[in-house]
Amino acid sequence: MIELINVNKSYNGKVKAVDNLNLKINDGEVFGFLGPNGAGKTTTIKMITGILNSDTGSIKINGIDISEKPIEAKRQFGFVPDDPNIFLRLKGLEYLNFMADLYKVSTEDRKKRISALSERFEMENALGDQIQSYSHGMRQKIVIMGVLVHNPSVWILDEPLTGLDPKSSFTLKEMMREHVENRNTVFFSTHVLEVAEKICDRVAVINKGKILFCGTLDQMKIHFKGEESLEKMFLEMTDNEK
Amino acid sequence: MKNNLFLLTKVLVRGGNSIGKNGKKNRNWVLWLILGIAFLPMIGQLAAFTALGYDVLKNIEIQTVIPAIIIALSSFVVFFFGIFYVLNTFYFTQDIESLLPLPLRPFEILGAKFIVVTIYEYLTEIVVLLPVLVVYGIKSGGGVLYYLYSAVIFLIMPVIPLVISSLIIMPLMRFTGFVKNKDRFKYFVSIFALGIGLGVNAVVQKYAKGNIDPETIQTKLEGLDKNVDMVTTYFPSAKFAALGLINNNSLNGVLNIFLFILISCGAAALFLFVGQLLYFKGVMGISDATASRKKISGDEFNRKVVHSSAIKTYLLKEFKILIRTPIYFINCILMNFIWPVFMLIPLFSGNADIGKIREFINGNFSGLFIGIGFGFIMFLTSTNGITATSISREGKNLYINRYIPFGYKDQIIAKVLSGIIIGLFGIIIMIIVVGAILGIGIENLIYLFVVGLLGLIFSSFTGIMFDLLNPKLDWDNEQKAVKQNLNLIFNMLVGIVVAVVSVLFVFLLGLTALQAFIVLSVVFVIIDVLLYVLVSKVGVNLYKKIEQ
Repeated sequence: MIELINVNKSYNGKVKAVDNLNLKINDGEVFGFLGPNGAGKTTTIKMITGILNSDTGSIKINGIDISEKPIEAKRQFGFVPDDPNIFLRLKGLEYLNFMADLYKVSTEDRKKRISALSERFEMENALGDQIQSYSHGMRQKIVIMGVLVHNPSVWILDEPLTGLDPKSSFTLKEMMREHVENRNTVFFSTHVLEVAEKICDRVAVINKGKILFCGTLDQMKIHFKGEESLEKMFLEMTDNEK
Repeated sequence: MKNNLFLLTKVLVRGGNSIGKNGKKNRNWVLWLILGIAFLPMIGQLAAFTALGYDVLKNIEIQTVIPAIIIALSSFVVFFFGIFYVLNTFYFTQDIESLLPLPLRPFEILGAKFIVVTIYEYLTEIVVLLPVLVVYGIKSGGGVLYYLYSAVIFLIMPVIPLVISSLIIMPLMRFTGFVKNKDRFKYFVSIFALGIGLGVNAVVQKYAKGNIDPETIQTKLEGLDKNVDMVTTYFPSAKFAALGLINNNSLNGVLNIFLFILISCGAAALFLFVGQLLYFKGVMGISDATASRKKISGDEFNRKVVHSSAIKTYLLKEFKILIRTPIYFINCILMNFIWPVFMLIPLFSGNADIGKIREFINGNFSGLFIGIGFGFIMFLTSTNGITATSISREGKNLYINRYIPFGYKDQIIAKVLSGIIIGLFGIIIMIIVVGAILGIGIENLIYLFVVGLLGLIFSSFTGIMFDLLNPKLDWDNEQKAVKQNLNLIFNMLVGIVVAVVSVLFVFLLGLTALQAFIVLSVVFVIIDVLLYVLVSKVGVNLYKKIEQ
């Protein structure tokens, strides 16, 4: 579960990136975070994950406040950043071990998970090579595997499907659904509305730092009185704000 | 075409100088000013040496060799640095991937990059060439034309050496497969350059020995005039530039300067022409690393996939990145082991009387041995920059350190530890070698080890504090994280000051080895503890506040 209460963030004390945000993502749901470029999606995700401090308000992950007990809160989630170009000079396997050590995964568990994940993402032949030799999609996969190796209950993913091939994209979506079936939480941002439409239980639309809508897709359709496509609703919502 | 070239140059120059965003520009200037001040002693020395040299050479009427020598020497220095600048700016930089798809012709990209490198080289010239030209001008009573020609030479001089560097590198990059692997090639070139450096040092030491006799100096000086011709033949333009300067009052001077400009323009044209043919094919397909794409065997998997503590795994990550990134390896790790070798060259080349040194150290001056040894270790460990660039090296990926469940203080301590452990290797090797060559008693070596370790801890803490205060995170080329990082220079200055003060302290008070050991240990245990507290409190807060 992720909870944001009255969260504000401005840069240089002027530009308000996130404006009094309230959001609750429940256990057992895939939650899509939608919004145009520069809407405040990444800033929000950075605050949830502890990369940025919020100016005011509180952020809790599984009930643990990220600013009060940062380490404990960080253990609750796994984060896939939008840029997979990280630790390029480590080998794939070294990176997975690094993540497993930081999250205190036992030797037995990590062996099982690394084997299973590398098979599922077809990365067995790449684990012995440095990440800088990987393609964009492979880098994306190793970062996702680095999250799954410590099996967190909350997944936070920033644009996770960009750059993945169709099969890996399918696998990841499948895994997101499997994960929430065990009463876990998946929170991800995307521009791709079809993805949100297919796998999300609920979505929030953010623009200019404010939540414009939060609810199920059905509620959104009622809100817009009709069978409009998500794309049209999205455009209407974000357009009215301008 | 012209527009493209200048537009690109502008963008590239700006990109290279951005240490921080927003209001940090002003601070940037302050930093450059400090750097300038740091170089002042060297510039001053060179100027003083020139003044002295002028007077000596004037006695035998060959003072005019000064401009020739310095222009040739600067050309060589520019050429030497040029090899690295060309490699890093033309080939091994990330902006290439964004430039290649743009509708730019090879010579436009190359031209812009060439100008950028030339600007870098102006900084080299300010230290090496400028003081000599100015002092020579004053001494010889040069007029307006002299300074005008000097300015022209200053601005144009780097062209030919840089063209030569480029003409060496560009065909290599185009026609040899070996260099397509960035990392391997960088290791190769850097170790080759270090070899040259060590070789030059050894030769200079040997030469210096043979030259002590005043009569030999006299003959060497008289032969110098001919040597100038020889020296300048490698950089033909240098000769014209020098002749232009020397004869600045006559038509001959104008002609020579004109020839100098003409040759430089010709070289630039040749460079663009060759570049047009070779550049794109050379720069495309450079890979960062080789990949085997082989499945890890069951045994290997079982051996490698094991649990270890977070601090150990984080520390290992630091080591792996330091060792596997060529620039980091050379600047941060190799330096630890190179400096002692540099220091030992005089001993091996026979310039120093080892017997006397041995007597000196084991006799009444053992205290000074501890003092100087400590000073040297301070210098050594503050120069390696492992901790002074440890935050900067994270670059744009610093954010990763914020979401992993590993405390900020632990991260900082792990980074400090990485500096201490690598520094420790350097100290141990140095102590063993110095101990063996100079036959120093085990007691004194242990004293030196203990105070050295305390000095190492000191410089590791000060290093990370500098980097926490103003980390250089906005870089597109690893070189900028360590080589163009002022935090390293600040830490080095602190190291040098502390080293000098310590040596003076031991010397002036005439301490014995034991006394020096006790005083330095007590003082630095206290300072190190205070620094630990400072880093744990203020440092962690600074780390928290870094926003990207």
